[in-house]
Amino acid sequence: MSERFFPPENEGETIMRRTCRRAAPASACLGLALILALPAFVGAEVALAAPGAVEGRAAAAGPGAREISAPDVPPEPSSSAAGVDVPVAAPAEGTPLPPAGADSAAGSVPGWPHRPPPRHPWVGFGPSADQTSYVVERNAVPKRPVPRVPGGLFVTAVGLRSTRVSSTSYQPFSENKAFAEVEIDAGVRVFRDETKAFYLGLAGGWGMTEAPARGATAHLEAARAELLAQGAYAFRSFLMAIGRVSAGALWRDARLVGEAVGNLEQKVWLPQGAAYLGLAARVPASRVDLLFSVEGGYAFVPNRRLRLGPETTSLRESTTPVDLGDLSLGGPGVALRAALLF
Amino acid sequence: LVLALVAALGCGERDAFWNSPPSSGKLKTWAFPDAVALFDEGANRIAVLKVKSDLTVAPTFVPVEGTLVASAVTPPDAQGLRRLLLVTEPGPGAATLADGSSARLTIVEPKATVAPIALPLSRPLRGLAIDPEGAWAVLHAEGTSGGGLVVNPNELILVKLDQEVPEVRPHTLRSFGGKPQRFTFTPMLQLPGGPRRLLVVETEKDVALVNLKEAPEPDLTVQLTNGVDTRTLSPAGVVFTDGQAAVNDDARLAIRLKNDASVVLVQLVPSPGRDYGAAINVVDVGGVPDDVAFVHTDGGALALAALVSSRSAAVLVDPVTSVKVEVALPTPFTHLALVTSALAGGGTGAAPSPGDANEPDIALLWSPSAPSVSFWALGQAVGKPYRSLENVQLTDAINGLIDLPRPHLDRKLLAGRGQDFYLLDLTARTVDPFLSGTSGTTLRAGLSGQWAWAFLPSHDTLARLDLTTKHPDTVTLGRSIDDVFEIATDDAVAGASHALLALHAAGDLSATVLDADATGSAWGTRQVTTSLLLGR
Repeated sequence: MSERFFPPENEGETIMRRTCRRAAPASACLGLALILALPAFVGAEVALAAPGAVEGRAAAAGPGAREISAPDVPPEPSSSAAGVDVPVAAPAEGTPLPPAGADSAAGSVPGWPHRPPPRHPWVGFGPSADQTSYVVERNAVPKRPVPRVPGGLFVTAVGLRSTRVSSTSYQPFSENKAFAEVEIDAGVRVFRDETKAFYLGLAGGWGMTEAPARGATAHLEAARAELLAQGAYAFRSFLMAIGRVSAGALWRDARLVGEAVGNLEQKVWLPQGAAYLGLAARVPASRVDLLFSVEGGYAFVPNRRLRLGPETTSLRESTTPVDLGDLSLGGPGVALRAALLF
Repeated sequence: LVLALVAALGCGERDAFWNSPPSSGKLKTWAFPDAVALFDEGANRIAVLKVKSDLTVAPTFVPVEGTLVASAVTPPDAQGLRRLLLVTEPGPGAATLADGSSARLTIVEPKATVAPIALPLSRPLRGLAIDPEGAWAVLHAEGTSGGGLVVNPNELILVKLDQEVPEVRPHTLRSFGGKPQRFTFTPMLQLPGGPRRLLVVETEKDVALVNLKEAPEPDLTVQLTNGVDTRTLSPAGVVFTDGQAAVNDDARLAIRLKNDASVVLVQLVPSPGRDYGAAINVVDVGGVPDDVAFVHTDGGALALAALVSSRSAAVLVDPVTSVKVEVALPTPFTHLALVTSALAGGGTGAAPSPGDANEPDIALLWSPSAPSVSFWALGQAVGKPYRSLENVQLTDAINGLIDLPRPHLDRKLLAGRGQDFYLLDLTARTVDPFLSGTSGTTLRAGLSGQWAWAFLPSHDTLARLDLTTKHPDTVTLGRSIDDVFEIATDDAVAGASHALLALHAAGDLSATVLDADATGSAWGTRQVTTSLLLGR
């Protein structure tokens, strides 16, 4: 068999030279294959992490990819459907190999009529030059499978948001500059393609802070209801960029309670909006998707004078409102959310 | 990373201002005719509260640097200005104040719009004595304080206040081993060297006279002795008289002693090279005197009156001849107050006629241990002493007298030791008892002279006493009262001209303001301003 690869003119060379000459093309092919295979290895990790990734890759390959990939390859076996890419082992010893330069894409591999094409250029264990060439050709197509956004139609999320409030009028109410809120939102998908999805919905939040303020107790509570638009772009099937824009109304209730003060309060409705960007990690679960996101952004709330007055008045006694200056609950913030898509 | 991000967003503590309540203990306040000042201990600043005619309170703040160690309010000066004097020293851990000084005297004039005046001091002295005419202040070491490891208690700092830029004048007393105990400013005295004011400094063993004129003059020190033995005698009080207005060598001081029956009479006489010298005379009044005063007796003759409670007697001493007249008292009185000027013009405070200067005086005698007061008509005291006293019986002993402003100068409030208090009419010689039902009632004289105020600290009820009709009105404020002040409103053109400001110090600080002059159904209508010290 080795006679086929050694032309008669080389018969006089040494064993070492012959070995080097034979190994040269194989080494070149092996290096190229490794380079090409590198993204695919990444894709293999993705597939391990996300069910349906195989489907996504196949669909995302596109028409151009299909020209290169074997169109007559039978459906993937169950092991692939499970999302686990199994490297194709080199042919067993003695298995007839196609001749060098044969068009494997045409499906003319003798003796492998139903063998699925290897989806990874698993090259190793020192195959012959013919084997290397075969593997490289059949796996040059979907080198990097494209991830896909979750397929759920509805999304609901809960989260925590912390806003840095720099207004000096906020100081009576908190011992630091953070205003923390619990958030909840729900939406429906209005657009989706392979890498992007867009949702519309409603969001709400509630936060409260309380602190001693020079002998009194200052209490601030805020709740908001908003229209929410959010989009997702999937870099990977497990990693997405998230963007949220919301606008709505904020209800602010500031109170000052003290032994001599009694109870002074101001309740106001204010417009408010927010824009947040972040990253979400996708965790597979059965029939649903879970996303955990970290976002940063800015909340816009207009300033409103903080004038706290009594809840009740009497004819004999009136109370001068306590003026604490302008207060805005807007500012930069971070949010942590857990979302469920179904 | 996320937690660090959240922490970074929320980091930055609020100002320490918000964490400290206004006062950790009793609220420190100072009253002015048109404002109330209080010390915001948590924020280390002075809050000046003024009341507008709509009864709202407008606070302004004066920051204090360092630790406040002494404070006082001056009486009205010649321009009618009252000042708040604050002595501060570097706070814990600081060696000096921001200007490099060891201490500072800050002068705040609530009525004026000018910024407070800050005077650097060479050392932090915690004692502060004020001239009753508002022109001088003296800073002195108090107790063991004095601003250093080693302190000379006789080093004083005199501050002349009645000029645009107050003058700081260090002064060291000539000492014979004593330490200053008490400071008394005399009025203007006609001395041989000209009209002068003196600062009388009592130590444990002598009395120093400091001339307050521009050019310094060595002190004159009166060593105390009874002329009989060599005991160390301590002064217990000083009184003075200018004598006759046209004569410049008859000004006198009388020094009563704590541990001897003698009274030391000092006549300020001419002395070569000095504005005055001293001629000393010692008079034994028969017992340790509890109180002394220069009075005018029959025909306007000057005498020294001394109350000797151990003998239930008053002794009149002729300062020239040392002749004594003893008057038996019905009760061992310990305090004597001249009310002659209060009775001038029927109690309206009208200026006395020129001839009144030498009219016989009337003194009010009282004692914390006696349920009575006596009027002592000194015009009859020498000739007919048994007819000079008129006793008024009370149901309770009294703690003190409270002067009332015009038009009721001829009335005094007598604070009882128990639950009651009294309104004494000096003209009619009548006394009206008022029953409060609870002990501890605190009395305040009003600014307008129409009202007096009574309240129980830590209770929410307040009473207004009409000094004309003697009718009390009560109002319940619903908040615990810590102090009350009657002050003039800031813009009295439109609304109320006098306001009663009641402070509630519990928790944060709030104030209830009433129209002090309101009558009928309008009385009791009030404006509450809460959280007065939340502003910056």
